Amino acid sequence: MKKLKTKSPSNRSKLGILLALFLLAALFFWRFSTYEGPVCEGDAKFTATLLEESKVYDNWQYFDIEGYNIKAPSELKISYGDKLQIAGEVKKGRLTDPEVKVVGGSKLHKILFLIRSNLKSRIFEYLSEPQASLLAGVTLGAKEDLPKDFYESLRKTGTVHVVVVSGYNISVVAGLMIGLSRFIRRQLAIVLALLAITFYTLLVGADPPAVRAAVMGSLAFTAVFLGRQRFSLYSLLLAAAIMSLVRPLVLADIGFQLSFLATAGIILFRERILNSLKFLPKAFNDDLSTTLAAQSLVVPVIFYHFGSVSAISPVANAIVLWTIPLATIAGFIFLAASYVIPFVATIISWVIWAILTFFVILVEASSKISFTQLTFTPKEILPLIIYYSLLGGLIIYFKYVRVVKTK
Amino acid sequence: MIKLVGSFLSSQNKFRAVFYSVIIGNILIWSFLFSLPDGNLHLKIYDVGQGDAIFLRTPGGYKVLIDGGPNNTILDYLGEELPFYSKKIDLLILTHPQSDHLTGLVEVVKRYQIDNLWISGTSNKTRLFSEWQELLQKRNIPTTVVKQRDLMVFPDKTQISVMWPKSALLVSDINAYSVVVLVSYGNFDALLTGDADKQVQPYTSDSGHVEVFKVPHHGSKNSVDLNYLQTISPDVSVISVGSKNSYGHPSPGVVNLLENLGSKVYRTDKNGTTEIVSDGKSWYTKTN
Repeated sequence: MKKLKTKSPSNRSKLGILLALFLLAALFFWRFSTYEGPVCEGDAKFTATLLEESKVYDNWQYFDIEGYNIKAPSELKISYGDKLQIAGEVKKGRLTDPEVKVVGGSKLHKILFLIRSNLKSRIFEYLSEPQASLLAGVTLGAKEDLPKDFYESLRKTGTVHVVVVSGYNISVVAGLMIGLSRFIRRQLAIVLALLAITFYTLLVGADPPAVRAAVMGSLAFTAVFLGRQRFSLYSLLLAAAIMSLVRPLVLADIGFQLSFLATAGIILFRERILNSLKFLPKAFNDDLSTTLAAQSLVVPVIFYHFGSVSAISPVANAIVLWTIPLATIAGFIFLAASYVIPFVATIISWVIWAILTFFVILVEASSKISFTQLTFTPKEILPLIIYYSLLGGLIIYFKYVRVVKTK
Repeated sequence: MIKLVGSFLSSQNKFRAVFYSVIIGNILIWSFLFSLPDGNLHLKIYDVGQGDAIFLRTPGGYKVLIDGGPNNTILDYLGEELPFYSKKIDLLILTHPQSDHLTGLVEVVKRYQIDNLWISGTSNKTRLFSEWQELLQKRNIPTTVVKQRDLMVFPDKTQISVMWPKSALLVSDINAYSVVVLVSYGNFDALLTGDADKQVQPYTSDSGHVEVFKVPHHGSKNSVDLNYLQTISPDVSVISVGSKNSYGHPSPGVVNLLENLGSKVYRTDKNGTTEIVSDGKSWYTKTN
């Protein structure tokens, strides 16, 4: 990472920064101390908007809302974006057969949901499984349709992150708008880019990783607009701060933790790892160093939550990751074409199918290699602390050594 | 965007672009070649858990799907079965509208082009069935309520004949109205029975020997009639059933009966997907 050039601030501005930090800390303290999370046991009554499709079986249907898992009779008709009033008894985080009343609905959510399902149905009409749901995951962050076995293979090989909307998707969406700046005023293009990022993030369901990427992307584009240098690590911290202020529960979200740490790892270590992997073929070392950098901070958290981690992940990622940016861009073009020129969409869908088939075959194959899972006792906090302090120590050591050398 | 495409095509990345194109091209060409019909009939009784889903590929490459199973596993099987350039199913048969046969078909109908649909004409009061009905109307799928002696012959001489239901029959049980079809190609016959159990056997008065018998109703206690079984004397019997299902399917008595009559018994819960391949003269079974 480049060293940041900072002027030594005057005493007055130092005081200002101190005051700002104090106010910020107070704000956080207030937000967290007044926040109430979901009840784990006992009676619960709340009103919330349904933000997923209910899974309907013969007699029962299941859905998650506001941190609760609900089991309700399948006759109950509810749809995405409905505002539900729910009252019942919680047992181990689940409400069985509670009283559910539809008390309204969010137009915005319903429209977004319709657009999203329509886009998804295009993908499903042109492509077959598992390539179809993989493309839906890569372009729209839709994980709900992935075949169970295939999802398991993605998890085992440490490639499941490809179905999470991330910085790449956001940069493509914003890039499309910035590309327009040849034809319209640059400022307008940037405003359009910010709007596009917001729309896209809402469209994909505004999961914590997508919001993280969207906030960082927006900051980056605004920085360009204001003509300022952008500092990725600061924008990452700012994104995390904003998100946890708005919704404190996000800190407990696994997706948020992984996304935050992976991004931090890439910002901090990627360049350095790439420099020391220069002896490898170019097509390979790029994705390998990104993966290693991301994993350096993520691995302990995966251990903590799941108790196992994929040892083959860096290699698997290095081999298959090139397909994902290609599939994402081709996927966006395909979706647009499917509404205008179906014939062109068909041809593009074949190319996407081939790209993703490569991905699927290699992921399936590497998930079958048996010695690739490292297992560990989950939910142990001590190894986590040891790992990060060791890593921190190493970084300081290397910095010190470098400073000595350059002297 | 333009930048992205530009950087992809820049001279520095030319090698990469060529490399990727070779991979993509190879995948497309080889999967096209492997998708061409091999001149044999393939009948696959899929492992879909507690339910039925059966796929038939005729020697000329026509595709028939019978039932969709209790979940969306069928989509993965169809993804492997059908080539990337075609999402066409020539004939879809829903034996009867219960969830263990119907569930997977909802997505199949949304995603695939269905040229013909055969149904038994019975209905069900479930939410799933009303969703299915709406979908058929919306997608405008050519639907026929079939009865005994209805027939479809493909240009490669594969014949699908309806053995059941008889036109006027009044029983309250949806299972008893299941569509039963006989698949014939040359000397090879396979009887696919849905859930039409013992109470409606024999299905026709002129039944004869079959090579393959899909045992009705997941091998339940009342699935087969002894006399009828002796008439058809199947070489292979396949039971489509989920492991540890709550119904106790298949009944050990039925499995014994089939084995005592000299039939080889395959179960999807133990053998997985069971495939029968035939050239019209001889045939063999394949399991994974």
